[in-house]
Amino acid sequence: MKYEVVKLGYLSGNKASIYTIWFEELNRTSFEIFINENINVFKSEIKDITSRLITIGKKVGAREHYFKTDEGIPGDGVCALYDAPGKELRLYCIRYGSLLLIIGGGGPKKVKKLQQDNKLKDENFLLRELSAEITERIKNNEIWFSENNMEFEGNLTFNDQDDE
Amino acid sequence: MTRTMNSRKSYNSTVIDDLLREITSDELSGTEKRMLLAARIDDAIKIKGWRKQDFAKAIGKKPSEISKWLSGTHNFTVDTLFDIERILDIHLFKLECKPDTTYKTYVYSVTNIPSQYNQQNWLSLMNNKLSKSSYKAKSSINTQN
Repeated sequence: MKYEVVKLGYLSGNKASIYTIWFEELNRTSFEIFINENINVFKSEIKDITSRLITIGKKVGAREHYFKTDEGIPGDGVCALYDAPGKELRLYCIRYGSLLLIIGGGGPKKVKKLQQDNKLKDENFLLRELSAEITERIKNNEIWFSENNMEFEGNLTFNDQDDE
Repeated sequence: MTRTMNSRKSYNSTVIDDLLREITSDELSGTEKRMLLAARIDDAIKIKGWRKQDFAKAIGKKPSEISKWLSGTHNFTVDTLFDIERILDIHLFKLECKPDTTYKTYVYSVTNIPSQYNQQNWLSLMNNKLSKSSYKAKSSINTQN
């Protein structure tokens, strides 16, 4: 599947740039899919998550304490936006310091262990793979950060069949 | 290696646009305040040279409770905020009592009291007028003869 990391202008600001994953086949981003899948049942949570993302982009930056870290393998930056008390939705992200955030997908978290929920496991592993691929491309100088460290630049298009 | 700029620089979406229209300014403002408060507390912990665990110990809570506080989603009680202020030596509130009445001093310079008033009933008239306004004032007449 071909996908591309794209910046969400609506949510980004001078504190952080917020990216998501656009799937060519679906012509949708992972964040739009997350919204569509959950808006009917968890509307207030979706609004709260979106408000928090706007605040991160425009007011406070992607500071570590707003996230549950270590949701991937050590050092890959995969994390989840902190689950608000009494709320069910989980949204996975990749943090690059406090200036860059890639939001993936997620869903209701009804089990304690990720491995017990295939949907969340798939969303989480997609971000682990993306993080590994971005790290590899940064090493190969195919992706780099802008001068102010607030943008990804370079080749942000990926293909699952690219695996080497 | 040639660097190629990504063609899709910024993504616009009607799904997100519609959702943003449903978020009220009050909702957004509440989220901002909670997240800014969490950032302020996190900064104060770091300024103290503490880790989250140190702060948890100092305030008598579990580290997991501190994580909740710093998540930007927590609804603090006022007492907890007062405890945080005390432990971290910070001010989260700027509390002060402002008087609801403004006192001003007016100096009236009267050269001639109209003939129908003597000194006493002129003073009484002025005070009566002032008491009807939002100001409280002291007035007096200096007789300079």
